[in-house]
Amino acid sequence: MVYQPHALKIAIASLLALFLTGCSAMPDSAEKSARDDPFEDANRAIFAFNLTVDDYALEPAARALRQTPPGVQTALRNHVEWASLPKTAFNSALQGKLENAAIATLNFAINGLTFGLADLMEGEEKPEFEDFGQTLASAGISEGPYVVAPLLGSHTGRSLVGWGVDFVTNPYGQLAAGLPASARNASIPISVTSLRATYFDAINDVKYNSLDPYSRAQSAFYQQRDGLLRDNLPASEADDGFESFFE
Amino acid sequence: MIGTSGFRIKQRLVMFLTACLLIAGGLGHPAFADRLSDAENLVGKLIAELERIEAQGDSISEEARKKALSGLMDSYFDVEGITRFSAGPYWRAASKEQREAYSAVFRGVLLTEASTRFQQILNFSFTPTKVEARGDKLILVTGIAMDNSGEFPDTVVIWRLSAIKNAPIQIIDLEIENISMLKTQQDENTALIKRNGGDFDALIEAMRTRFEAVKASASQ
Repeated sequence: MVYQPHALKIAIASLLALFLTGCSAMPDSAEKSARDDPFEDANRAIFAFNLTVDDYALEPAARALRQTPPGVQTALRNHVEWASLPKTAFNSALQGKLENAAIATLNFAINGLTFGLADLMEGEEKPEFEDFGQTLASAGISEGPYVVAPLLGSHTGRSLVGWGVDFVTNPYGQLAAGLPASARNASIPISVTSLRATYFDAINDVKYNSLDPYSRAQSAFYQQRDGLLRDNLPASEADDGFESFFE
Repeated sequence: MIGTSGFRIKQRLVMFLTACLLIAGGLGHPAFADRLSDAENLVGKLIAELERIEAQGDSISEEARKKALSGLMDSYFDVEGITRFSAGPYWRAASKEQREAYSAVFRGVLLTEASTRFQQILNFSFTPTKVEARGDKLILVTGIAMDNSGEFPDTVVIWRLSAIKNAPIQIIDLEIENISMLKTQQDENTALIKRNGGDFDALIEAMRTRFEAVKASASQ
């Protein structure tokens, strides 16, 4: 069985790094062992700011959302995942992963009947998440430094550029243009709150139980990004840094 | 509760498929195949043991539960290797006294963490999907964790096991959605030492403080 990770979970993992805590080729082993963090002091300051935002806005909102019926939470999660599908389809096509692009498009079209609130494709094959950062990686663009962006959280230079391109090119924005302004304005906060609520305990674990939340979030971010890029690496290079365990 | 019968059926299927793949790949050495199935069985046995402890509920004291978990940790996990790896390259430079102090405090943290993680594991049903060797010392048991409450989407989980020749197979790591618990701990620890100018004692002290805080909150 080949398991296709849900876009939602990938987005959630990003979010985990996002509130607790960029251009290039896929990371090589040197990058893995010594991450490029030349802006660490600034990054830590922004990380602290993001944590404050989480303390006063996201965590309370997520806590409240978790009090709603499970069906409401599931519908919101489905919508967040659905809204990311055009991005996956677009970037899959750019990377030549046409089957994945087709699956994403099909999922988007079918679930679009409910505006993504219900997963009508449950049990069917799910697309593998792809974003423009991954497209840049597959084109051989280097990773760049580690950057913590205000409100956007952990990125590499490459993934941050990718985020910007995805934001501009996602046709979901055009679709949402037909909605009332209140619905459009609520879309992003609801999505973010939904993600925060889904991984409430995991994020709080990083926030409250770490020796150093910044480095833990950074580590989680890089591992999660490496996982996304792993399908672009030969199996021998896609190892996990555990060679030194046996030394 | 975990669907143990479902686990066994899937387990047999995965063992059969693994054997087919090994033979097809020309790697059908019986001892090698045994190591793979041993690794998978070890994960299954750990989960069964956890279920057994969980099933005892309030009939056992918290102290007895911790003792049981501690026993599981020693039987199923390579605690010494995990401790060494978690300190990263600084382990080699540490003195004997520092290593002993770190090992003692890290064991406490590990047990506390494990208690929480084990509890989380029991909320999921694990279905192995793939068992593979990485080199001749590492085996990965990959599977899907399904949330019994339906609250969370299915998640890819990888158990990493050391399989050194003539030594018992032991678990060294649990990876969830590409995020390795041990690697994350190592990154956090080495970053802390680095920020303190390479002072290993800073890590020991930070870990001790954290451990005391966790113990204090648990006793409240």
